[in-house]
Amino acid sequence: MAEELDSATLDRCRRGDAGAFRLLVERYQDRVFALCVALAGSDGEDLAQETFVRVHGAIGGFDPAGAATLGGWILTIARRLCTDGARYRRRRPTVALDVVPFGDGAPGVDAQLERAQEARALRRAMGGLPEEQRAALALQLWSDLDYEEIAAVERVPVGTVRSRLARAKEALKRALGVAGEERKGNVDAK
Amino acid sequence: MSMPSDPIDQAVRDAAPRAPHRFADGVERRLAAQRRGRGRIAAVGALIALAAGLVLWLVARTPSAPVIDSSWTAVAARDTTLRMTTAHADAAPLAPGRVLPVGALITVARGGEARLERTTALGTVRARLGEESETRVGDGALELLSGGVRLEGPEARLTGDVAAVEALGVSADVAVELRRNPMWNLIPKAAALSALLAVTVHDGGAKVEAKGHDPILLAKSDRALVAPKLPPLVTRANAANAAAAKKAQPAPATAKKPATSAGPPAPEKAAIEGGLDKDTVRRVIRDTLGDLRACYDAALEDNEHLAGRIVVEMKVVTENGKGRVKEGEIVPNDSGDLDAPKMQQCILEALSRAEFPPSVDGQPVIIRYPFAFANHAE
Repeated sequence: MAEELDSATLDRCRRGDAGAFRLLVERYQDRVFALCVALAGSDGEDLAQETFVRVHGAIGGFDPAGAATLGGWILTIARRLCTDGARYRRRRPTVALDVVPFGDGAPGVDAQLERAQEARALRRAMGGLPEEQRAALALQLWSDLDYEEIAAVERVPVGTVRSRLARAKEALKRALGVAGEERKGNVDAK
Repeated sequence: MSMPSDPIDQAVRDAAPRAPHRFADGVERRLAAQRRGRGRIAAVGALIALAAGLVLWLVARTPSAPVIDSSWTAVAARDTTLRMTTAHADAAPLAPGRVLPVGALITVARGGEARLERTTALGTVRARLGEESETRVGDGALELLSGGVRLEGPEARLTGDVAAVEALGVSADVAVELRRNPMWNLIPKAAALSALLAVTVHDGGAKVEAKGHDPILLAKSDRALVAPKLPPLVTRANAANAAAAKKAQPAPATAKKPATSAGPPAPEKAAIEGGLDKDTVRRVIRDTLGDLRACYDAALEDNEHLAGRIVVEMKVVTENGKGRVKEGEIVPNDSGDLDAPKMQQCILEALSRAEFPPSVDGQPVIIRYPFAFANHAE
């Protein structure tokens, strides 16, 4: 589980403290960004920033004692925004999922290039999944929500979350296996 | 692609996109832009509110219609109130010396009176507003809404929805009285139609202009009755004098009726000038006798001794193949007992309903017809 914002900083955010809100953004930005990229591709950054603008306007109404964690609450806002954004994007050209920026993990150039290539292939495979499966996958593996939290964000039963995740991972395995074989074949041909 | 123990999970985790550097700066820029936008909206809203307030202030400041003084001045007043306009609710007693504004409404209570004056090139014009009258002040003319007004002096003019009256001559003294049936006051059109304007010339002359009719010139002691939708009824003084000269003549032999009678008396025979023969006129007039008798019976309720003769002079004009009474004059009898305005109006109304055949030459026909009214119950 990803670490949540401490209650003192949250209180400052709710009182309109700009510095505290920046801390909130920095704490949740990767999770929100990843979800938005998974759902909206190259529009993800725009939607992720817009999510935090909405969060800023609504943070006063967030109940820390309520059922949802702050992360779950923020990701719910992001999910709705991306769904609305998807409706909007249907009326204009979309950009492929694999053009989004990626992490800077590996120290070596070769290893970094290899990981980047693998990540690009995986994101491309994710881009071929249905939206609800992409959302479930991103919420679980990129935003670190458990089944119950995903079910709350998606407003579906936990069983549905489980089945969506299972189908998503099965589809990814198939896609990545085919892609790996194709890539291996290309290397052998050289 | 390397696959750990839960290889697909790990692969997906490893492929997690991360927010770009300065992502939080972008959020802050958006928030700042949002604040600026809200500030602009608030400023525009404030400007709109300011503009609306300015408009309301200007509208509120727009002066009401300017008060224009008329040429009339109050010289005496008793039990009289003045309202600046008919729409103005506040009424104040009319003070002598007050220059009256155009549009002002003067109401004289029972037992009251108001005297007004205005100076013209021909001299001073006076108007005496009688009790229970209502008069609106115009720049030159007064508008009589109800009650009586006495006009004195040249060019004294009175207007109204029934007729306009103008006093003629330096010595002019003209009484004008407008009566409305109060039963119809709630219905404006009916109230207007129930009006009866009586003009009596005590001295000098007067011109009466009824809507839809030629102007009538009245001399001293003449009188005119004007009612909407009816031809004006004129009573000439010279005819009355002529009648007085015949005072010694015996009473007419009227037909015996159970109570009252109205019919063509003997002393003065019908006279016809124009293209209608006597028998035709007599037949049409006889058809109206029932209505005339009803007029007389109604007048008897006010004055049970009312009796006498009158001569009606009618101008019958042929229109659309029918002859209609367009003008009428009543020559009063010698006693003057039939000087009952309501009855005269009723008679005129009855005669105006009469339908004559067209004149042979299409020209107007002047009919002078005598009637006698007697109360046989006395």
